[in-house]
Amino acid sequence: MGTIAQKILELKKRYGSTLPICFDKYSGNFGILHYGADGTMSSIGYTTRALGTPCWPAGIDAQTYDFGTLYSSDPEDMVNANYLILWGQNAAWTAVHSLPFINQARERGTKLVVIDPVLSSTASKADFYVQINPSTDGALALGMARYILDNNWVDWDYARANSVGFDEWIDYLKKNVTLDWAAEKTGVPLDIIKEIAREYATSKPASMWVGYGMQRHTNGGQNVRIIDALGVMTGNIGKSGGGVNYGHLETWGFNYNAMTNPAPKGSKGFIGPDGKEGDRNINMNNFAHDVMAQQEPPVKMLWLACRNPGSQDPDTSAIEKMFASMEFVVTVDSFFNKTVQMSDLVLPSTTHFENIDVNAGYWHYWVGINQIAIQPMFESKSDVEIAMLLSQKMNALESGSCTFPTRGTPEEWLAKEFNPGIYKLLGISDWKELISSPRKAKMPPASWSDGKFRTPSKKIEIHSDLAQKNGLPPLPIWVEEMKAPDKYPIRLITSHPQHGLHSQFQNLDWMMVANPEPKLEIHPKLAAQYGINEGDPVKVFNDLGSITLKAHLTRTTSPNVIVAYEAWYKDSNYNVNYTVKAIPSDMGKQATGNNGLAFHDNFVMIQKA
Amino acid sequence: MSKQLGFLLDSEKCVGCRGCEMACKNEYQSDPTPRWRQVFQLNEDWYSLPTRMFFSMACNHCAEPQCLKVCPVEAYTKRDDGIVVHNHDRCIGCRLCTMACPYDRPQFNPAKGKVEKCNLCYQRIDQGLKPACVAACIPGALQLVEINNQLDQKTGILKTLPGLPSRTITNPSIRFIGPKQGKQIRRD
Amino acid sequence: MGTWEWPLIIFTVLGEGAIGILLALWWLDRTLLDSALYKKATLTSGVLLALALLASLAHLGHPEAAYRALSHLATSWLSREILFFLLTAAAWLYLFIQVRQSKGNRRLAAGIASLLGLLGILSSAMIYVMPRVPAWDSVQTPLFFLLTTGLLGTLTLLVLDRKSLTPAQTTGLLSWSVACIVVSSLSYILYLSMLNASGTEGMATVQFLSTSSLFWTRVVTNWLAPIILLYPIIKNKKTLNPNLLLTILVFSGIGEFLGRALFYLSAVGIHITALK
Repeated sequence: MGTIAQKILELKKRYGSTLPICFDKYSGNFGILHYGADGTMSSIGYTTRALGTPCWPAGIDAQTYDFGTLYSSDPEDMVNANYLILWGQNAAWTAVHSLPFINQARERGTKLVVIDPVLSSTASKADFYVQINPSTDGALALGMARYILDNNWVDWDYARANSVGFDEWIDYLKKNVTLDWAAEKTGVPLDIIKEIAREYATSKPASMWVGYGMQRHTNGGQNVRIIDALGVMTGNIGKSGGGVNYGHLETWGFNYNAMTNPAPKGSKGFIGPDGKEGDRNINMNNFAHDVMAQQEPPVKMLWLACRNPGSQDPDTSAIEKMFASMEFVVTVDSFFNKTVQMSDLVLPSTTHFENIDVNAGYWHYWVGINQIAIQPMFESKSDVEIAMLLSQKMNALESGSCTFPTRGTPEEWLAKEFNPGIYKLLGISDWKELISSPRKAKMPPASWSDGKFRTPSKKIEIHSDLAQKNGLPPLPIWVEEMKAPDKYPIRLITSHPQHGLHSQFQNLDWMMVANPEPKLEIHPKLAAQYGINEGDPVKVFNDLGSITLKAHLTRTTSPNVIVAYEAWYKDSNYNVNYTVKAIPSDMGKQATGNNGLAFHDNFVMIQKA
Repeated sequence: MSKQLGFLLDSEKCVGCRGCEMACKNEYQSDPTPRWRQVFQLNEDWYSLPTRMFFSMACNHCAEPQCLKVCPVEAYTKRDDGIVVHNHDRCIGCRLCTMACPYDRPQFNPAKGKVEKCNLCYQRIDQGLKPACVAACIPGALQLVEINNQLDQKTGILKTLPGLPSRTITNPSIRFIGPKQGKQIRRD
Repeated sequence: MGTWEWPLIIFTVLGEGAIGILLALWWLDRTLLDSALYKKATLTSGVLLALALLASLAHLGHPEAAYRALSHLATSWLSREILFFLLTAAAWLYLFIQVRQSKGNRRLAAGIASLLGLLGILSSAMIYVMPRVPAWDSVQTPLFFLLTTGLLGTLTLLVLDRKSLTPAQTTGLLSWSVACIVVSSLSYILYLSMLNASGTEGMATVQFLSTSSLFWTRVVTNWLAPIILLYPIIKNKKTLNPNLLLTILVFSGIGEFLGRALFYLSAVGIHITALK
């Protein structure tokens, strides 16, 4: 702690502010008390912050433009769907708790349609699997929309009463969209587009689950907007068993007490575009480059918590360079991963077994207490405890240099996160009631069932002025997908792994035995072209970098798409991100501060290693 | 034997998440290897269309267990409910059972010098609980059932899956529901 | 299966050699064998048997609890094997006592020890006769083990001999040796062709063997070299010389050793063939 405190104060003295300290935190653990890490930063002054989210911002913005915010139905409501489309979504691997509800609907006869460039585990369960050309989902939706329009399966009443710009979009469909074009673009046969369109439009209600993988393209946000419009046109918004469901943040209205601390008196900050003094924001999705590019003052120190840039950020080589150029890196983590390897000081963090916390979800509607199961082992501490200790040390060296409280039991800190709003939403009067069991938020099962959209016009904005203001098309029109360069004709999709949560869990001993090494999923036709047999090592490369891993021949992918799952294997330097460029997706700035990442627009070449 | 307990594995519901494998390890805090329960992926070439299909297998508590027959120290006993229990204390680590089992379910643990295998959580069953793996299966693919004619007569109940050894060697007490292939629109 | 089972290789080969010697002694003694040779051979047999039993303990994860292995005589060939080998060791002790006495009944003792030993060898072979492993699941397994017994037993007696064997006895031993080698090689050819037609596991075993340098070394040391070296001796007994016999024994010993190693290495068990 002393070392850290001294370094912070030294930098402050050298540069006149704490802006040389950069903070990067994300999804390692979304328990509310982990925002104590953010609190650490705000309590020492104004710092440089990684702003944005790598996962899902394009889709968030799309739903923000269309509905005012992202707000999905209760996933348990899927049992009421009479038709279910999972679009670029792999529930079997990423949301297995929702499967029983999907299965329940299917037992009633509901058809499950899965649209995905890769025949995932979820697609394996589908009644109907469509292997779409990657990044062309919007074209499929437009083709469907055109067919629905031509057959007059449109819910004109709902659309006209609840949206603005609908007729403008219908005009666009008539003038610019043909089924032939859609079939050609997506690789989906004409009669199939018609079949899905008819079934979706005429099964009432029909639900669509839009996955985050689907929007990890340069036109990802726009594709989500088109799918939203499809939902509006068929009157499936706001209905039980319907919806265009992406995610929500309705159950996150905590106080964020651990996070909010005033900057010490006299702190110098960054003058933002609005003229206010505060933190300096850089793009989380272009982290390495942004960090190294900062001037006046430059970034000299990093504080990393709940984040593993060494494993998860695109362009790993640049990340490595960035680490090397830092004077001091503090990382809070539980495992000796690549980020920790490249850091100067590691603070062992408590695992969720060793601290108390409250957790909400961004898909389901439940809120629960994470009880402490064992006392923190060895020297591990929670983010809040780390903050308190640092504050003590800093104030001992320089009085008033840190405003983070230095006292408080875990329960006291937890209690301070709750407010009447949360209590009402959960139907409790004390957070301790959550110890007996999690509570489900008292919300209607179908999102937007009250028709109270949160857009400027208070209606669904098929025509969005806000989008236009941000330099985007106001309507949900087709935007061309990124094409493969000649030199790198093969698309590498780096989906979410089955046995890990990004760089967590795959590294555990039991998991390493069950899944010892990464495999490259490659179609036999493609493999034959390069003389690759089952189990052969393959080098996957582009102008950014390369990875080498064993091939697994499978027809669950297509001849020009290879799949390697992003994960951290214990003690391994395998990282798909050596080949992933920080290509921005089209949306994200509006609601999350920065555009997202087109992870799946990664083009490579392969050779037998 | 008054009944024969066994597992019913619904390969259509199984997504290969290995929750069952991990629940088993967690229940017994066993070493990383051996894996008492193991998830296998079915070879996609054995079905009309390629999909990702899985099944999970622990001990099959066979009606004619070869392990029990060959063991020189009588470490195996078959209970009245059909569970084949391996007595860890009696085992001397001769590994003959590991050679005799067509499913490789008894596995030698070099760290302990003995063989280990699934005992169908008989301690939990005796308390009226479900085996750890069954309790942990979120998609509801793994169930504990009584293997009998009544079960075998139900539609869709299979006695084996492609890639499994012949049932005639040990008469395993396991049943399956096979994976289904839906309609696929493919780009190859 | 598929591994170098050192303790088992040593146990079975040395054990079979030991019992082979006892069998040869019992059989030769019908026409009265030289007592010095008898004593030497008995001792050799004892040493080999002791080494074999020690090696077998090394196979266990918990050798200190090996006594439990006698528990399952009802169905376990391993229990039976251990019982018969222990009885054989006891019988050997009885034989040893008889040999040291001038009027000892070594004939009876040798007969008992040989019989118990044979039962031990048959039991040890039956351990492996199991449906799970097609390469082991036939009468070939006990045949291999018995041929090892015969070959090593007869050759050892020939090597231990210091001109005390009668011409008839020598001829007998040589004939048995040659017969063992011939039967061993011919039956192996039959075995391979049967295996190749028996299914995937059988074919995998044949594939493994035919591409294994160890196997071809075995062919040379176990069958070709001994037959070539024995041929001149059979044609003209005057060329019988101790060094040549020792060479043949060494080749055969290595050959038997390799053969047993391959028995374990090449076996392929019926198994789950889904992707793992």
